[in-house]
Amino acid sequence: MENDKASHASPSIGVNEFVVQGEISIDDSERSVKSVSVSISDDEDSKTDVQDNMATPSTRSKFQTDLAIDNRLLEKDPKYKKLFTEKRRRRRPESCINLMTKGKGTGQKDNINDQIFSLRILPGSDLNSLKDSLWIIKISTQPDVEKTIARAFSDFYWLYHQLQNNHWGKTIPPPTRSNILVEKDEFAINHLFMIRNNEKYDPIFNFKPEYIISLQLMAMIKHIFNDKVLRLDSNFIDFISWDDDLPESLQIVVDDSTFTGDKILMTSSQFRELKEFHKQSKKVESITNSHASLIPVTELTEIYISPTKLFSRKDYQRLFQPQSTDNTFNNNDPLIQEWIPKSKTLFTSLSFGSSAPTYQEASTEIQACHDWVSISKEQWKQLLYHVLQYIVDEAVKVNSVINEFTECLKQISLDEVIRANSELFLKFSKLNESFLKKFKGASRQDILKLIILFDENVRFCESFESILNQRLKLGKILSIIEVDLDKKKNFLDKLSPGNNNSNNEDLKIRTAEDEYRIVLKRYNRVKQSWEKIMEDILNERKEFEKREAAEVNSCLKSIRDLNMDEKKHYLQLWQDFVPDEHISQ
Amino acid sequence: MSDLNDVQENAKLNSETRNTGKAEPPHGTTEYVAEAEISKNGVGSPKKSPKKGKVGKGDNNKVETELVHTALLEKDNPFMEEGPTGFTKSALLEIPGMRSHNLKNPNEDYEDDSEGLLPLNQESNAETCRTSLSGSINSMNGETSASEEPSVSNRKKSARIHILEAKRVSEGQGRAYIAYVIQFENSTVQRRYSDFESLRSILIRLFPMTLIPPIPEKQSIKNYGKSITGSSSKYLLPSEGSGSVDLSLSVIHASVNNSDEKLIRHRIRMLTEFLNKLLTNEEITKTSIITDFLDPNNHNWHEFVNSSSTFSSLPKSILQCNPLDPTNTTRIHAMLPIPGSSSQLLLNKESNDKKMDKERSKSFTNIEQDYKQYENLLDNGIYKYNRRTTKTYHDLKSDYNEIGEVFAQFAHEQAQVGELAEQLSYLSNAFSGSSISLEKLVGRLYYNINEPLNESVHMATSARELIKYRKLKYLQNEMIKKSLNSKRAQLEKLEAQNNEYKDVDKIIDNEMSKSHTINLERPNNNTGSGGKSYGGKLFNGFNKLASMVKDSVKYQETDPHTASINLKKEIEQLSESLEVTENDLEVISKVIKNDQLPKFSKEREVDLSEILKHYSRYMRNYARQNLEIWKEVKRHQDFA
Repeated sequence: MENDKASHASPSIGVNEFVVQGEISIDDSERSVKSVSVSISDDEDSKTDVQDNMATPSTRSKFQTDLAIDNRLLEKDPKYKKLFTEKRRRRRPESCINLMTKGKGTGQKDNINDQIFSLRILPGSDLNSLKDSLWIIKISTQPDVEKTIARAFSDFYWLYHQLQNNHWGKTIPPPTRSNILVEKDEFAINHLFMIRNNEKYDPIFNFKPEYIISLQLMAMIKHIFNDKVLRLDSNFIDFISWDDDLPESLQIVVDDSTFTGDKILMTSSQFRELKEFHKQSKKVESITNSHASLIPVTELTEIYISPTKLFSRKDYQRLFQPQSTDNTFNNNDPLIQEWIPKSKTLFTSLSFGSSAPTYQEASTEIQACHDWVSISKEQWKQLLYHVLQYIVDEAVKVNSVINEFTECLKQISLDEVIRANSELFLKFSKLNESFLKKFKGASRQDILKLIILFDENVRFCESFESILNQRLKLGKILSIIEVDLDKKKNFLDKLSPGNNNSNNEDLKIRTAEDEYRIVLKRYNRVKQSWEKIMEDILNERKEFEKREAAEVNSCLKSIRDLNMDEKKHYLQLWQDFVPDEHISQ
Repeated sequence: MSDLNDVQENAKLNSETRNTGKAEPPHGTTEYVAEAEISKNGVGSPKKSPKKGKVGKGDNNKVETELVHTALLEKDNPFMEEGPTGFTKSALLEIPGMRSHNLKNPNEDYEDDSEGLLPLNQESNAETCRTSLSGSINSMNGETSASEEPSVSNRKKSARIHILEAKRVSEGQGRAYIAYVIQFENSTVQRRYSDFESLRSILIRLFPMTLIPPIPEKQSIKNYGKSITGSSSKYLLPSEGSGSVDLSLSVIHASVNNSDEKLIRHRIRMLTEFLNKLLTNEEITKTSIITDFLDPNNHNWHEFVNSSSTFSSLPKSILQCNPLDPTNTTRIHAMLPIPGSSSQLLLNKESNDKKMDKERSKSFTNIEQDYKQYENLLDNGIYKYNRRTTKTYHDLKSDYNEIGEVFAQFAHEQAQVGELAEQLSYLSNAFSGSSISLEKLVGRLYYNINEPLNESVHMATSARELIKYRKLKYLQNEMIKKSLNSKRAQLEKLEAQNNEYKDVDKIIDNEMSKSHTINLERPNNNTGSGGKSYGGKLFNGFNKLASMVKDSVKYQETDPHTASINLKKEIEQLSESLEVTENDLEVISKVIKNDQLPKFSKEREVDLSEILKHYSRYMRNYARQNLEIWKEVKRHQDFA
């Protein structure tokens, strides 16, 4: 029967397959070269995409090759043609703006070596619904150049998911804690919102949740700016609407010194800009197939992985969407028919059933990271809760009791019943008054910064969890590829024993070997990126620990100094009280 | 027989006062000077040595109790021990107490032999007793505060009562009570709560014009019986520092819950303070009631009280007592009326009529309002806010502790970064140290600030009781006045009636004489038969009327006389009662207004100033400890 099948095959089909093989090999060689390169080259590609005229000589060849690929895609599918042409049309006026600002930029660069950007985020609407709230981002440089951007709160989440999806192994803190949004954590919500609603508390301590959230958003943007890889991402540049070149030695300073609590109304132009950004973000999602807007906000630890990031479209269709092969491949080909597995559940989706391949963590370091992040998250939460409760008890309750006690002592000193001790009570009330004045708002701001630091660390741990979960999913995908490789190898083993019909069998063997080699190369590339992700994760943890140590250390030092000064003043108060008592006696 | 008993009691009191008067002058001054020298030399040494002496004397006391079997041995033991104790510890104040205690026994024997004394001697003894009591009151009024305070402080230093143990004792039939082991000088005795209650009620009747310190409220025995059960175990109560009741020697000898432990501790504290304040009251210490209460020979206090004729003869109500000498209650005092709650309305009506009484009641009303306001200020002001402050500090202590634990755990987990772990551990130590110092502060505030303030509130309540006593006496006086006036009005009415009756008799006699003249005129007109019959009828009517009037006059003459005699007797009695009550009221008002209340106000001012002094001291120590803690943290930081 095999001989009959071989006799039916026509030479023209063989020639076509050979041509297809050539195309695949060309694409594979280019991408294999990319996989060898570091992540900076990927950023360079995105950089060239953003700025066409700024291509350097070293990247010209890549640029040309990219254009060639794009041309081929445009020829095949009219959808892509429309998208790319619109993109180019949109960039033309930006190039004009670039020409205008280039002169200014060069002038500024001559004067200042390191540029310092101050970042400030203010609420642009009421905080009735946090998801629908609007925020105004102000970025200003020292030569009084300020840029104002309006963004919705959901846009921050969009940016978070885009960056997380594009840069595996990088931690981006979420915009704010998920507990506040879904109201799971009653303790935090009660303390945060109770403080605002309770009128008894003094205005210094009566900070608003808008202030906390603005600090968290500023911390997120600051983190992205400080990372040399993340800040060059096209999604981030679109989010910020930045047209100039970002200097490499850029430093971001968060302006959280004063906060009046007044909301800033959005102008009509900002609102229009916001709508345009929404449209643009939808297009970007459709291009990159990331589906960032579809991911629910509450699931911060679940990052969507797009298989198209790992595989070419053909391989993706062949592996995960067998039904769609009708368009590109001939079903009558006996080789392809034999290759398609009988049970389709294995490849139809990423959700695995009972037959899903099991994946176990081999690296002890990554397992340690899993343990570390869960413990650290819990510890930071505990610190946050206890410090909050400590503030409420010491700064609020004690002061309120002493305040009422002071009024009572004044009343007693004025009363005629206790005349001999009236002076003593009056001095005692004065002591309490001086206590309230001195210790009312002294260490409050400092403790508040500590709370925000703890909260930021909690959010970092959540982001780190998402990275680890991302890597787990990638491990599962590698298992799928391994299964595919095993099947291909078995197919080759079946074909190799037959040596009778040399021409037909050689042709089959070569096609099978080519396919096996292609899949094996992709597997190696993916596995290499998997190893790279592991290294990124470990580096990220080390960097976090260093940064955390520095920040906590500085914060604790300031707390220590303030506490010492506070105790000195406290002791001085009571020491001053005693001689007066002797004089009165 | 009752008169003889009163005379004997007066003789006893007189002898006791004489003995105490004799005992004090030759030794008191020298001993005070000696004690002052001891205190100047060293602060700690005088405190330690009396305790050791007490322990030794306790052993001697046990030996005495074991050896005592008959009265003869009881007589012989003091004579045998008097010599060596006198030689070894002549400088201590305890010896005059011992001597006075020993001297009482032969005097009692002497009083038993005095039953055969002559009546004249009895009367003279009674008079001397009265004069001596009044003299003592005058001397108390004359004393200055400067001389009073050192003596009080000296006594406080020399002899203080401690309640060593609180244990459960069963009295059969499934009932149980808490027994408090009291130590005073060299003797220990067990007393239950009802014994303290009985002592206080006796003192209120014996010294109605004196401010008796309060005792804690009564708790149900059933609750105690349920809560205090099981095997016995000792809970050593912690000491709360200086300037307060020292409970470091006290032990709760029972397995109790935390709340019950606090309750018993509170009771021990209040009862200890009660007894110590009684010791500082000179008027009370002149009598032997305190020493009798603390005498281990009197095992059962209730039996002692019932067997004692002095206590059993006291009237039940303090309003029927003689304020100067309650043991010498006269017949007049016994017959005084006791005002009820409705009599306050009468007081309001009476006060509107009389200006002098109105002024008096106004001044005392102002005083009462002042003390009520004072109590309110203490209770709702200082005490309330101190309690709230203590609670807030307690919560803060918990927060410090939790932060310390969290930082310590975090430092342990973050061992990779050595520098950060080290600093976190130092910071956790700082928070833990702050928690410990705050715990000490909370304990001190609770035991040495809040509870003394609570005692001050109760003392103010006792002061109001004194004012109420005076008020009831005033009501009593008003009742007597009212009844006296009503009796006098009745007497006047009777006299007026007598006068009216005499006038009527005169009129009747005149009319009778007139009728006689008419009778003479009738024979002149007897010419006709009609005139004769009409004149006869009229004469008969007059005769009948005259006879009726005469009979009525004879009947009324005897009754008014008897009534007037009775009324005069009652008026005389009421006049005597009025005189007595007015004198008593004057004395009571004078003593309360000029002696007791100023004394109390000085004491309360001293107490409040001491409380605030301790408060500032505790706060200062707390601040200093906190500063040292954070300085140490900074030192470690600089060293790292």
